[in-house]
Amino acid sequence: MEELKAVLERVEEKLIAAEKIYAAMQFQVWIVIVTLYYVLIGPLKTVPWQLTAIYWISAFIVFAYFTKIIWKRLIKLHLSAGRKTVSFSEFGWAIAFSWISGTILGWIIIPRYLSGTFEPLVALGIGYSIFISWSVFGMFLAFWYFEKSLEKEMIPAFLIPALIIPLIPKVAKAAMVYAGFTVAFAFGLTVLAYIYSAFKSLG
Amino acid sequence: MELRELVKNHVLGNPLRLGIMLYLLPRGKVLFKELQKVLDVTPGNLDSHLKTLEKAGYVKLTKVFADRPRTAVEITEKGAEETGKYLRMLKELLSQL
Repeated sequence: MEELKAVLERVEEKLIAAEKIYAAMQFQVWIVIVTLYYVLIGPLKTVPWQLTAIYWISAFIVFAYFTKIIWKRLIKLHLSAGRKTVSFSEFGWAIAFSWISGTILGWIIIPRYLSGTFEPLVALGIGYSIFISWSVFGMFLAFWYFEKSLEKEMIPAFLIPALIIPLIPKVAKAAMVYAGFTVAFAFGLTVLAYIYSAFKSLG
Repeated sequence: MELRELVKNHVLGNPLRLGIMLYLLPRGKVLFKELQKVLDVTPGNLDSHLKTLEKAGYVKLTKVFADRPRTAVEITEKGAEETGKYLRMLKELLSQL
């Protein structure tokens, strides 16, 4: 009897660990996308805007594809844990809304609003940091409100890009590189936190 | 009450079928061949249990191209929910004994 109890507990721990690892994977996909961009543009003397546009459009498609796969698995893990408090479509829409509103705010509204005050690259760098902070913070709130789950591991991913915003004008022409690497660093911390939580849940 | 509920679940009441679901739960989707190796069963035996799980709506069988066309087994939302429920009932029952 005790053995069966122990087996059930181990199964439960494994499922929690799997949930954490899937969440980490989603942030890791974004790190790969961001850093690959710099690997590609590094040897170029000038970066054609067409390359940037094609790269980021494709990047969003790839990110959405991986997110869909990871999301489907996360939903099944949440269902197995009996966490069906609200409709998953409401939860999914809340997350989609975070990213859509973040995209509009960070890539359109902020760069336009700041274009008169700062150089275009600085305005874009600030916009990018706001896009990430806003979208990840929205996702954090969606997990908290709909899933009653406080995803502490996500905190570095939205807090660090928000904290460096006042520093972006100081790096001028390297603003986008600075913002990009800060996001990669912040997401890296979140991945580490999720992996740590996964191992912790395994006891 | 839990005992009655547990006994009623003919699908997960079988140890091999429960094993399949427990293996699938954290992984989401695996190849038939992998399941057969892990559970150490014959293809015929595994196929018959998967058909039962598929009929109950717990798994979905699809054809995928790995090194050659292979059968993939994917857990469904219903399968994940029911397996989780079954495990919780079992745990609850064990804690009462």
